[in-house]
Amino acid sequence: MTEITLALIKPHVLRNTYAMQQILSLISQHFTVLGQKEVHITKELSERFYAEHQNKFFYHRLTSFMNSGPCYALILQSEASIQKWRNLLGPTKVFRAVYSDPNCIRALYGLSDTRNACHGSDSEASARREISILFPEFKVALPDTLESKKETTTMT
Amino acid sequence: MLKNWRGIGPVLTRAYTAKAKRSVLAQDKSKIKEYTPKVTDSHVNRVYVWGFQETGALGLQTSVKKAQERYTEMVHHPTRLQFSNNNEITNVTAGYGFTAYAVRRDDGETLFGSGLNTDSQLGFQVKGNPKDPANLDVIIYPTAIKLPRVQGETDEDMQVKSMSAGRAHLVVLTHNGTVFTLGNNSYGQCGRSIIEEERYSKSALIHRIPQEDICGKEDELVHVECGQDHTMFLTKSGRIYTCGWGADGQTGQGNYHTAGQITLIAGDIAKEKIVRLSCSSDCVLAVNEAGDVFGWGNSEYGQLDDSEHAETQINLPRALKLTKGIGKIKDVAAGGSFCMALNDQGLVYTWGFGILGFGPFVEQTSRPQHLLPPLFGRNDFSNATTVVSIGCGVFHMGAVNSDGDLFMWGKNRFGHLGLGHKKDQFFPFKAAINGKVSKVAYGVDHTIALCKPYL
Amino acid sequence: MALTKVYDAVTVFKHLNGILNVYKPAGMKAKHVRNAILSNICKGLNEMKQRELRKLPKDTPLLGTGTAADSVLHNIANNEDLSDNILSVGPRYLPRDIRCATVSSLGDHTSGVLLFGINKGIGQSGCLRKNQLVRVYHITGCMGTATENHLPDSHVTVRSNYRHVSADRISGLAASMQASHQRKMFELCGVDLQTQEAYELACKGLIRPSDDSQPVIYGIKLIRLEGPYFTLELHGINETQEYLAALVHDMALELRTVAHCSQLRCVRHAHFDVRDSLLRHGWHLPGIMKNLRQQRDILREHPELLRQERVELHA
Repeated sequence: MTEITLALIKPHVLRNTYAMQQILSLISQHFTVLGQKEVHITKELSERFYAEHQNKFFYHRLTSFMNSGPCYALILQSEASIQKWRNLLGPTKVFRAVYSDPNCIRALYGLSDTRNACHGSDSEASARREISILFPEFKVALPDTLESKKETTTMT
Repeated sequence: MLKNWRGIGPVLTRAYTAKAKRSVLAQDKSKIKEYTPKVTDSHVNRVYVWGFQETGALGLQTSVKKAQERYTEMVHHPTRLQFSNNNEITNVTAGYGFTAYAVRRDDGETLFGSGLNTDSQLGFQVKGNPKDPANLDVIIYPTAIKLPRVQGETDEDMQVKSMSAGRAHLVVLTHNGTVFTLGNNSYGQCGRSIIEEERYSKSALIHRIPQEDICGKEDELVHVECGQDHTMFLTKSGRIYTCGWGADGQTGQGNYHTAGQITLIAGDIAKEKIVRLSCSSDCVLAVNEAGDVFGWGNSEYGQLDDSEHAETQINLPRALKLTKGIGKIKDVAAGGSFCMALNDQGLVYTWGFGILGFGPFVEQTSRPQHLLPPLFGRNDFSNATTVVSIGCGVFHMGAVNSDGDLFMWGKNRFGHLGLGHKKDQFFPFKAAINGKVSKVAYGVDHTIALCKPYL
Repeated sequence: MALTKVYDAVTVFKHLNGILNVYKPAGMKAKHVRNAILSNICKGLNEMKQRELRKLPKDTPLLGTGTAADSVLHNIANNEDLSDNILSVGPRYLPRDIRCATVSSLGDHTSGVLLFGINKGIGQSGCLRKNQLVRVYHITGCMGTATENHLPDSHVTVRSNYRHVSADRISGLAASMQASHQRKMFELCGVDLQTQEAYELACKGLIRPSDDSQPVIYGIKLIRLEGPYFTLELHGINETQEYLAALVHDMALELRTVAHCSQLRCVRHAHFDVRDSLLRHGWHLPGIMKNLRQQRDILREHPELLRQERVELHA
């Protein structure tokens, strides 16, 4: 069953041309990209985006970090894409990831627990929500109907 | 008869009769070719670089075309920087994917840089391939960064006194006390107010701050130190001024805001004379004259406080309890998830989370423990060897001993430990550098060492 | 024992055991030193009072010849075995009667401490060899000329000037080579660097190599620099004369000049010092006996020389 998920490449990786290339080639190997664009995430946007973390201590730094420059957002589609993308990303905490999963994206290109390279949706619902925030023009189609899939691809 | 016996007995030394010996003696030495070596100036510093190369931060390549022909992603072995052969490099600093060199040369240029320039952290660079303007974001060979001068400023005034690089910004302090900031200012880390939606790429803006504006006329700046996204200034009288991203409290201003205004910070250091300041990510350590350690910023891995309900973000400088009892501290270094300190006996203490140098496991501890001196080259043949300086990047640590040997350990990200392989190193190990190391710049994924040659 | 003078060769031979510390002159092969020592021992022993001739079981008077000599023949003690007489069997002690083994050999051009195990000392010399003890050398290099085999007795290949070489440059280079060798030593000891054992070994400081195949250098320092000559003090295990000579050559290249090794002297082998070693004019039996006694005292003071259990190394 195919799923869609949102991948958000954070500002510091976007600046590192080499890292960006590597991540994009990794994405193209594993997923069909339904939409991609460079987005500038303003404070309001990131507060909406990370609303679920509102009460965590890192909420403030997370939202303010996204603000430091343009990000790159992609809509990925594949078999079980949410879990697959999260597996490629590795653990959220970069300082732990570099030892536990040294080959994941975050261990390779993350700088610290906040500057952890990329974001990935954690569930289908949040994927839809996040995509609707960053890609308002993108209509989230009903999953697994072939027709709607065609429709979405033509749209992008 | 006796004579005869001697004649046939074993002869220990023989006159030169063998053909080979005769030919050695008959050799005409005046015809041998003379080897006249090229001797470099003894005062010239050498620079060795290693680690991740694709960003151009190592400045080893001279041509993009050549670089594409062979595998160049990373450099495992310390490699001599060509640029340092004909330039006298006095100081180096490493940011995320870029490097800046302070240079003394005749044409008046004092600052050079190579690596990522996506936020114009290396100034506005026009050189590069006009057909491929994207390449302007990456400078593969050290290029001059022109610091804007006001009238009457000489080359001597523009010499670099101290400099430091963060994730995407560079701060330079010159001899006449002027601060220049370049690069990303989205958190005010350049010491100017934040402009929403400012474009940093291909920006020619270099912000200039006279030191009077920071610390007044009586005091003078001696050192600048950058975290990933914030900047700190240390003055002669031991005060600290900060600006930039404070989401972890790393600006020490008592709040978690971003600050474009350079502000004096207080807390426990209000009355202390700070002499050392270190930060590579979001956790800051400082030492006062008496050898006490202070810290602020990120403490998610118990680097600053180990009590049960310890805060993970400390926004005011605080005297550290956990470094009490390890003697008078001379030097400190703060990495991403760990800290290190050097006491007056030359013992290196490490704590926090990561490879702390005590064997093949990743550990978390808030109790500083010292690494044994034999790990840093002390033994029966060199029993006076002690560690003289320490430093760390976000993921790795290093120490230089009195013989000028550099020892590295930690996560070996893109080979930036300089040990010749990609595997992590779990205890201090000597990096193979052909020179006495005098200063090391620890980047996120590359390392630069400034060395004195043996000849 | 030292107080009573012994004239008896048998007693001396009985005590001729242990480790002997000989000063090997340069230009002499270790084999020749050994031969000279052994023949001198034999010479000394043969000059001493020999044992009584073997007695025959019963008196067997010599057969008379029926001439005037008969009275002389009858006077010869008739219970002695004349076939045991020196005049008929030759000297009592021959070099091959003495068992002798070197602890480790020195090259032809090297002078200095050379250890032998004599008779019952062969077991000890084997232990010393297996324990891989540190040897200390004074190596003199002569800058300005390079030779084919890096030793003074071959063709000169290159000349160069050496005015730019100063003492602190050489010491700096020596310090760096020392550190690099100590790192190398670690790789040679046969432990995977990623393991706990490796960390524990590293904490101990210097360690011995796992076998005798690779030379390991623990310490190098400059002790003298004069004109074209410079002298290094070097501590190492498994080194050979060729290796040391090549080392001098490589150092010189690093110093932007050329050099060959003009002198090599082993000044210490573990605790056996060059000051206690027997010079060539002392290679006689009393000197050798005295030297054996001295080395025995050293071994008694440092029993760890024979029984090494730890991998870490002490100077």
